Amino acid sequence: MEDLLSYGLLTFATLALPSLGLCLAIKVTKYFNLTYGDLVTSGTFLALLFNLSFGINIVWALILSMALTALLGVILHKVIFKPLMDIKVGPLTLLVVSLGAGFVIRNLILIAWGPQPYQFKIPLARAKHLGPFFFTTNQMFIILAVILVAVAIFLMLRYTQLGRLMRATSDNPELSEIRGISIERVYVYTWIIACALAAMGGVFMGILGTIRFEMGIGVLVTLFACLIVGGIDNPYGAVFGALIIAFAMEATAIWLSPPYKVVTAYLLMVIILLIKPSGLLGGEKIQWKYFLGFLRLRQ
Amino acid sequence: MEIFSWILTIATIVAIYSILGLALNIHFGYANLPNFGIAGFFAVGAYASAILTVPHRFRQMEIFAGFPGGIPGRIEAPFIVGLLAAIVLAALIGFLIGVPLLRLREDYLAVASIGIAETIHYVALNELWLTTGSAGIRLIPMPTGNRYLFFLVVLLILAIAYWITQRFYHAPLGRVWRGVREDELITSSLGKSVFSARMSAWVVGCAIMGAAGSLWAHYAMAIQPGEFVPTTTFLVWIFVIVGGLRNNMGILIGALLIIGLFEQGTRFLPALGPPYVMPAMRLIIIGLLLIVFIRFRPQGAIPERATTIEKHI
Repeated sequence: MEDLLSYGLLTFATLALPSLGLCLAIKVTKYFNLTYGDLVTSGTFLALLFNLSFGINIVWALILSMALTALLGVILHKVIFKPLMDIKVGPLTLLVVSLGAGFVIRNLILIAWGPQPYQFKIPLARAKHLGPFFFTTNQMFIILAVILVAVAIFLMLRYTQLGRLMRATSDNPELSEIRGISIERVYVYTWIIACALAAMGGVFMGILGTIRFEMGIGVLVTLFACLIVGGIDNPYGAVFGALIIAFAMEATAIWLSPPYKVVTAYLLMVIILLIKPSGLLGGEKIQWKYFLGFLRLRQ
Repeated sequence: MEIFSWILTIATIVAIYSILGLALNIHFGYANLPNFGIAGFFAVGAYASAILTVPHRFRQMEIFAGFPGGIPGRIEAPFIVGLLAAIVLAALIGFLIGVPLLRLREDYLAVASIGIAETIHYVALNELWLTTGSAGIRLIPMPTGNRYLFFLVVLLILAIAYWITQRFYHAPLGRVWRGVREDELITSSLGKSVFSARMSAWVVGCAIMGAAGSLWAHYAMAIQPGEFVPTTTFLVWIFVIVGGLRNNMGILIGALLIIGLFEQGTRFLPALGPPYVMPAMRLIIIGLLLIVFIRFRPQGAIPERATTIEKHI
């Protein structure tokens, strides 16, 4: 049980921030961006570049990588997605294009770093008992950082001008534009925040595990599971979903079989889509009729 | 003769990919069901056929030593049984997955279907008693004994798939699919069940993908889970979009250009650096091609023919 708590909390710490970032990106730009998994990967590899090749301290490497990943996200938005959004293509077309962009990024990373797994060069830390938990100082730092950043994002969304602009754009883009908000600018700020969070989550994943060029696709499926379980339109839901998915995944790893972690996350997502498509923190009531719908296929 | 055998290899691969492309056309082009789990159904077909037909000899191989209770090699069914099993199993799994997923909006379906393919990939990787895991299944028999005859078999099945896809375009059921694609509300107000229409398109497409998987297993004679990754799905999407979504001839031409000329045809080029560099460069160029095509020619090289009213009177 202590194992489940510790590992669950650590997995939650790696999922919470990217899940929040993806949630903001989807909420504001209104399409599913499948490049996000590969943006997480590229954030990790940029930090790896600074940490391993240039020998910079991991904290500075993280900050540099967040800045560069944000820049990459904005460039992707300006070069690829903005022209398509201007000619008013549907969300599905943007999704297909984002898949293509993800493949380009993933294979660039493959060419640059090769298929072997990597690890960050970080000082080894001794594990300490902290109540029922058993964490190293690195892990405690990560959990603390995740909580602080998540709270900061929530405060930002609620109380700052940028947060208001983002919520307004998400609620009604046309009306926001009429009221004088530059939607394009809100998109850019959203991508900066989302990509910085992606890089942060990716680096935490790298610190707690290994780094591979393919990690993006697994991360993407897991992140969508978090979002859909929590409620895709709700930033609190994104973090709540990450908590549920993290504990479900670690419970699978401990009591069933470690390789099926992602499958559990995915099954949970399908169940939620069936009974409450708006997510656990979403508005609508549980729809049992979909469950009964299993029996009669003709609607 | 070297070059002839090389062309035959490419032609077989192009034909198998074309079958996948036609199936995707039924899913996405006809019924607007964006299936990003093609690799999953391809894998179901390949494994179903391989497990049923692989000879008992496979059990004596070193890679099989660990799993005495395993299934592969016990049945030794003929090719036609493997092919039919692949079709039926892919359709069945497609049906079971479709029950929850086809109620979703298109973009949710796209994301969920990526998860399907990942799940199937993990099952193939971890259920050692069924699939022997990452070692894969080898010694799968090629039914006709030689590659020239087998190419004819592949062509025959491609022709059947083409005929089915083309026939569905004008058939009453296919018209309902396209109606659902254009406007769900109008179609359901005409008394057609949207869910049944989607489900039938989904199951037909999945069955065709299963057939392609079976052909792949018997052509390659060895399969492993690493082949059924998102890259496979992505390649099919790209040539369907470049060739011309909703136009079957366009899809064949797209497969020939992207898979034949570009993906397979550039293999003779001198390799740059480590072995993973060239495939990665190919995928980068293909990815850029997708982005450019969707931006400047979203209807593909050969677009869907506009249907006139007179045809239906």
